[in-house]
Amino acid sequence: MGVREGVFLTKLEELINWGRKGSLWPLAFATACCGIEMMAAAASRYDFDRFGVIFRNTPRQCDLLIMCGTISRKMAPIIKRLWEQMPDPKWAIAIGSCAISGNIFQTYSTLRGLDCIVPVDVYVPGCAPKPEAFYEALILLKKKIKRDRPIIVGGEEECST
Amino acid sequence: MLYVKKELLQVLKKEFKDRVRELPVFRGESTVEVDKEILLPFMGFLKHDERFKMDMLVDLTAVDYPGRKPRFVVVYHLRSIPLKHNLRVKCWAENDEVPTVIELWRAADWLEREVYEMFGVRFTGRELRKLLLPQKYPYYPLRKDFPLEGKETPCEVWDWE
Ligand code: SF4
Repeated sequence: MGVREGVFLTKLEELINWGRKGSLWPLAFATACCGIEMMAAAASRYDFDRFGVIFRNTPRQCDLLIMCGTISRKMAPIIKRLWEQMPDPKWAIAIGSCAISGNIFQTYSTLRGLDCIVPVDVYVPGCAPKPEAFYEALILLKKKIKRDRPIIVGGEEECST
Repeated sequence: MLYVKKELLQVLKKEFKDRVRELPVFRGESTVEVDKEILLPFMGFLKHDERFKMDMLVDLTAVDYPGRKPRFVVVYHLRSIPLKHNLRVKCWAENDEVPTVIELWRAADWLEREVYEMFGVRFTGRELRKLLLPQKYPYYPLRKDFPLEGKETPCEVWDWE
């Protein structure tokens, strides 16, 4: 079913995107030391709340997975399940070298990056990245959401470039 | 860290004859090697005898000597809290098997399970489950012939039961 682009739909999309990017609710979930930076970013000094980011304790209320820390092979199925429990639309940010590539832990028990199990939107390098880097990731993600085409069919390929 | 005195080691030798051998003292740490057949009576003696009173199992681990037969030596670190002395006991695991000491020290439970999953040394006389690794994991990661990067395992291995 194709929906043709029109002024009304475009405006509606903008409204939807505006709503989505203004209320990113991440999952309060971390597996290693990068989680400490996430706590710092969420606490009063750096204050994530002013971006509309409020941490939720259940994946069913979340639309953003901020993956902080080393992912062990045993934890991987759980993270995948958490991701599948999150309702669409959802996004994922990989924080730190561990969530990007496994960092120095090139062992039998460590997963080589979050993107082995979950599609990642933004990668934040660093070990651990400063809270400022978390902002940048959020701002990048918001830019990405702004270009999203939630209604118009076939719009997505256009914006992925 | 105070290890048992020379005289006490002589007591052991008198009690168990040549089935107990004294290993070189390293930095004041005394070690004895004991035959597998008398491991349990020997450990019981250490625990209950008035002169030893080894009431605490500090650590239980194994060492891998590839190419040697038997290949693994199981190492027990014992401590006496009332008499304030330590002793290290080694026992070669013939056929990769040693009797369990769980009846003497409950602390041996998890330690033996860990040695089992990491080296594949089986402890007879108890139920063995892997401690941290998934039950279906086919390799023993602390063996010297296991590559650090690990071996390829199918995904189902890491699923939770
Ligand atoms: S990237 Fe560095 S700080 Fe972050 S989880 Fe890995 S080791 Fe810890």
